[in-house]
Amino acid sequence: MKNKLTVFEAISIITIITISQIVLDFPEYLVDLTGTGTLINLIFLAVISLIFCFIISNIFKNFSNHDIIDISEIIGGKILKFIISVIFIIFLFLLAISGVSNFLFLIRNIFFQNTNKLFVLSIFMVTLLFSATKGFYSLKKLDTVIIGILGLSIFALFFGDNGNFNSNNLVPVFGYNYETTFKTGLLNIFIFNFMLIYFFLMPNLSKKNDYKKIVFSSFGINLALLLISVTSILLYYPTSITHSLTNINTMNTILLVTRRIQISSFLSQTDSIFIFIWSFAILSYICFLINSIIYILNKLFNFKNKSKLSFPVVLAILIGVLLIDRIINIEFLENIVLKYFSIFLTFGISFIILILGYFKNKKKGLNNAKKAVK
Amino acid sequence: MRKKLLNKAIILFSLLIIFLLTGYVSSEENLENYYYVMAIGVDKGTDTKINLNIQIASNSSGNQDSDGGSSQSNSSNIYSIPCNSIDSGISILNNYLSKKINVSHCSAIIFSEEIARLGIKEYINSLGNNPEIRPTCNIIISNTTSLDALEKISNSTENFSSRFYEFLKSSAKYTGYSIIPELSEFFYCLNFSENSAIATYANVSDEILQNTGIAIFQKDKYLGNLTVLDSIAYSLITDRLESATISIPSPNDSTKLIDVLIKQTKKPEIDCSLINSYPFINLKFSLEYHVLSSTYEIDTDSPSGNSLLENSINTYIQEIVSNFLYQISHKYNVDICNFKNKFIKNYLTLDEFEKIHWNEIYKDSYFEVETNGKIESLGIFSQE
Repeated sequence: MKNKLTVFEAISIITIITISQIVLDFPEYLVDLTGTGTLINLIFLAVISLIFCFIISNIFKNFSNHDIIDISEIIGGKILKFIISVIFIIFLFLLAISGVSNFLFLIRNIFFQNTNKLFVLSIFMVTLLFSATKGFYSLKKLDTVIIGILGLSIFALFFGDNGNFNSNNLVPVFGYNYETTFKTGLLNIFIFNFMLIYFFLMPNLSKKNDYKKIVFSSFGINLALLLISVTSILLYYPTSITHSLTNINTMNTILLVTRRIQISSFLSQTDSIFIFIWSFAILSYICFLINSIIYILNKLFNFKNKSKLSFPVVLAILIGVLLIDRIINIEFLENIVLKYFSIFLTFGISFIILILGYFKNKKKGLNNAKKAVK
Repeated sequence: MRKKLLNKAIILFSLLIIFLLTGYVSSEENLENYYYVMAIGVDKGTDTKINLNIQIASNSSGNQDSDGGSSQSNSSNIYSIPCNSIDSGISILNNYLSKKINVSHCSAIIFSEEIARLGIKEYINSLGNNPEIRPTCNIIISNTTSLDALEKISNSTENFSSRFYEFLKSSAKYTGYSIIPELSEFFYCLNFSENSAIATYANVSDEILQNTGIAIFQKDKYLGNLTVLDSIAYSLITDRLESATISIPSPNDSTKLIDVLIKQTKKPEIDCSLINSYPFINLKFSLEYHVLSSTYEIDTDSPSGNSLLENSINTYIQEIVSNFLYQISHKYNVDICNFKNKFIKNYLTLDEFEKIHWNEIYKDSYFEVETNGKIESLGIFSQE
């Protein structure tokens, strides 16, 4: 019961995932693809994702004590459960590795240009190890405390920098052309990868009836944050630049927006404050990923003491970060591997398993009813 | 009990790490270990590619070793280094000086006209890549060498500090005589051929440095400079003008001048359309006028006299703006007011917009300027 989530805790955790991905510059990948049409593209994708949310929340009514791993076991037994678990673990590892590498690259470029990478990384990993061993309970409590200030920091992107904004940068509203905005731009649906949590949420809720409320509220909040961050990027960068952000290869577009926020002449170069606030989000995000990996591993192997798993998981992430090493690899991982992997998992395999589970459950229910009639 | 203590230790340790990670605590970051750069100057080199001039703040006693000098110090030293790039020049200086150079307080980057004509993209890009430098740093093009400009600034009788450059910037708002060219905007414009970069043009003469208008660029090469009146016109079009004082010829006697303070009351209405495949741009300005000098021949208290003066100010401003617009489009073919973005509004996709071939038709644009200005005050004594 200690680890069960209330409405606020669940929404906080889901929102921090999106905030972290905004900080890690995922919105730049959206703008890269669809330019000024990103806002329309995002709304279009939100409508599609909402249909998915509606289906997911309705089907999960029938699986009040199951998550997607359990449902895969119902459909395909232990083999499918193993396969699905492994796929999820690989995905979560890749997310964690790219998250740590990206943030490490960012802070090293700004604050620690001459500091040994391993030293900065080890400080980061030790913190993660500590927080991971404290378990999911401390993480959810931390998230409820920091969510307010993190949300405000994203709003500050929009309201703090509006002196430098140019509304003309939002046009043409449909971007390059209709095909890019609505067809090629479908790839941008990866940004809704926070929806993966919906497949694991149900058995972890303190009140099962809150599931639908959590799904739609968190979706709305996350969509608003994504729209704000994308609008800030579009308003800040001239149209010609948003059409070729990839050519400039900016370190972190969101961070560049924060550099322009100035409170009179007294407080300028506010990016350090934002980095400070966002470091909480990133730590919480990575810690959540570690806890999720432990959660799935525990489901698979039923460990007696799962908190001891944090050490090998953190070590594996550390090795992954050291292997990636170069910024070009981080970009490849985020923009190619994770983009397609997110879509495959969120809107592909998890959804198919859920639908199949639903039909199997229905068939089972029908058979049971027939038996009862006989 | 032990567990509680351990928990507290973990929390404290985590907080400490966050502070360490965000660079708030570091022995290397001690302020005394740095020389703070106030301005950077770049000139064409003789044996090397460039001559890098760096103006560093020092305390008034001139003893730099005891104190790195704050960026608000009232004296400075200028170091000149022949080198091939800005970064290598800073490295050479770091090797020579007793403290590390920090450019986080740099308020201006001055290029000589000579080097600006050859192209400055590589220097702007390397500065833009430096996380220390502020994106709000000014870009100034000097008619003489940047070393000369920096020396003139240092030797001026004004109390000098990096704030001097900030005042240059803020004065643009209330004089309209120059613009506010920031590094970030300049950087973005330079990297895209369709947007034209602009900078402040500074004139060094009679031992003083003065903002005298706008330096315009085609790609990364300096093309020429516009006057202060063009600068006022630019500020009016881009809605950046708070107030400006201009002298207009008296409507009854063109040899006499009347000083007028103009203020923009509303954002200009800019309407763009295509007529016979050429851009037709209509601009409407809402202004208010404060007559500063006592008027002689005109009876400004009478409605006819008032409207005569009003009309002549309106006509004068229309002329200034029209001259400016035809100069940038027909003469220089640079879209510094970004009319392109206003044209894009009329199209839903970029593909549709690209069919009009903006870059080719812009130089044949036709402008119509309307000014709707009203005299708000006539000063304490309107007539003598």
